[in-house]
Amino acid sequence: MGSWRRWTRAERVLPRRSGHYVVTLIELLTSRAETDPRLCGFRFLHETSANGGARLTYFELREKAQTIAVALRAIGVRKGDRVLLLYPPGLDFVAAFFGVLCAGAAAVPAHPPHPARLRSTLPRLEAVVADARPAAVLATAAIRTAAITARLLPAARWLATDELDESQAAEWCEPHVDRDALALVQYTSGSTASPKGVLVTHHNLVRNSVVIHHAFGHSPRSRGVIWLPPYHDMGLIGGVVQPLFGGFPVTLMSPASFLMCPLNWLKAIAREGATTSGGPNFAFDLCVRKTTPEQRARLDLSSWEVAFVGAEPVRQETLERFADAFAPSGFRPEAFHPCYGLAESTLFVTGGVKGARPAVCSVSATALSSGRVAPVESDSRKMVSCGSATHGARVLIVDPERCVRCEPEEVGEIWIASESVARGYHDRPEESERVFGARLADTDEGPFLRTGDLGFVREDELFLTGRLKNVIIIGGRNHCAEDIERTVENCHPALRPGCCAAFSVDLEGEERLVIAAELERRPTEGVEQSPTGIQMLVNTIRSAVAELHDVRAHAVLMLRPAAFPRTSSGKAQRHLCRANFLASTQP
Amino acid sequence: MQSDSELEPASQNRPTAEAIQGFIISKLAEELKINPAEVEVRAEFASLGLDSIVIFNITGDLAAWLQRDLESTLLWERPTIEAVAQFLAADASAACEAL
Repeated sequence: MGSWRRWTRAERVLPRRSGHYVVTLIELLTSRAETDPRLCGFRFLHETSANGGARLTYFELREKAQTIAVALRAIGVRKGDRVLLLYPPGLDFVAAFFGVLCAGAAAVPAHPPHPARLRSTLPRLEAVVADARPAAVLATAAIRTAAITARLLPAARWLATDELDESQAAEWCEPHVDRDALALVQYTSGSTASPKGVLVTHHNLVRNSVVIHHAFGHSPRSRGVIWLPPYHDMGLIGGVVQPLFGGFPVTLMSPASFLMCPLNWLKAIAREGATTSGGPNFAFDLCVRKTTPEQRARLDLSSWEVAFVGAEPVRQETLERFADAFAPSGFRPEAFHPCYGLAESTLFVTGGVKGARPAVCSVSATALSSGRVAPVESDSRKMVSCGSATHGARVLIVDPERCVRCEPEEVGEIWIASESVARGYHDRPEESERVFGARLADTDEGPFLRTGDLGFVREDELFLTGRLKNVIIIGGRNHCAEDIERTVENCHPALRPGCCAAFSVDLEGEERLVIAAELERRPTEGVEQSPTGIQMLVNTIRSAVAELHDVRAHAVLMLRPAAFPRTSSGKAQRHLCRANFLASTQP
Repeated sequence: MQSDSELEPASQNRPTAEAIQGFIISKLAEELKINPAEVEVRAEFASLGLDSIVIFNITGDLAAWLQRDLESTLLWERPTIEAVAQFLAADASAACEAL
């Protein structure tokens, strides 16, 4: 079957309202509730009960969303306001997200504060609130009570949506919201102290949904299972918006229930006959590590058509290991769908062709590290394609210094132009202009989104090779290198300020965090320059980094005074530290 | 790599605090790639520099071994190996007495 027929079939099932395709998520929800009111669109599996769980039909979701919208209006939230969402994964979050949109406001999803981990979760939340200045905070009653007890966000106007029992949907008036209105402020970029909120419009969300719908070949017969957190773009846009857009049911579960028992995820896929599910690369490794051959033999994963892999670099070794391990479960390797995306482009940028095995190429690692793509000699590095852009999106490889397009097979920064590219960062006009308004120096073509990611294009397929930005991605989550360095410098007086580097290295097929820190010249009281003293310092660094950033340091290097590599101007040289570390680990 | 089913399930007898402690130590040593003898039972989990992925993994392994449901936040609420083991052992005997 040709691509034209496939496309028209997909178009036919796109949601419509009053004869036209939906242009906002409010129209999308209304359309689904009108055409499939009884369809049980959302289910949530609780951590401990495998078969139970809450459900929402499209009709119920609309009722709840409209009720929340009415309540938001009643506490003074106006069209165009921003509203913070503090929820654990679950259906309350889904209803609140659409409730905010139905009020004509924009949702700001955030990681809810963890009572036992306030020290690590609170600074970021407070910085997000300070930046977003939400008109109200939506939460569950439990989270609101915990927050008020802990005196969090004292000035906020709270609304506990699980306390709204009676439907107020009849009082809802549809706000006039056009396609360019703000729908979502996604805080996944920037440092802890200075988070950046990506401004995503209704149009961005609808266009990105069309692209994902097409790339994943979704239809009303699709079935989703998603454990990704809803306050993350992949969990929200891929796990909540996409199923509603495609009009197919999705079963949600919490990241904790997946991490505690990866088999639960796979069992849910088997039980639901899911066609679409996925996660970051590490999730597939974890499944192999935490299941036994007997458990795999009892699983039926033959329904799985799209196993998307994204949010961190995709590794061929992981895909091969998973495909081999789960072949007895009926898993098909052509289901793998590596994708590339980022919040600044709503979610999805490129992906493979459904049902086709992802392209893999072997290139020289040495040439690659100097920016060239060369055929393999002895230092092969296997690269997995992240597919191609579709629907008129443009993906360019650009020399980040000169801002001109790279030669074919040359590594450069990935620049994007598409209808999914967000409007900019909240309240950061200069940075938005620099990141979202880039132009090619020679042709003045633009605007483009500068992704800060490095890659090359071969035969129209995008291959990711690294990052220009100082971001460390571990377990599918982004960490800002400067944040970790600040934590290290501040965790002990024996460490010299400004002389610390946090960087990542690839070890055993995983990205791992390495920290290098220099000791103060003057001996610090209580710290012996002995193996025990140094070990205690290393432990202090490890625990501070784990507590504040929730990431484990693979190695901590303590450097003698003045041993830290710096430029002539005294600037710390992160890349030199990294090179030294890699040289020291070579056999 | 050791998987859960290779370890003897703990269902026959109520596991003692010591047995639970031993299980957590073996899992931690496996994750951290260190000698079990180096794991200090009174050290706080936080001081071991673990991230939440590892903590959830260990909680899940423990739940499977004990063949009972555990709260995902267990290891944050009881900050040391010793405290978790004592809590679970006491909790298990309380549950049995209630029957």
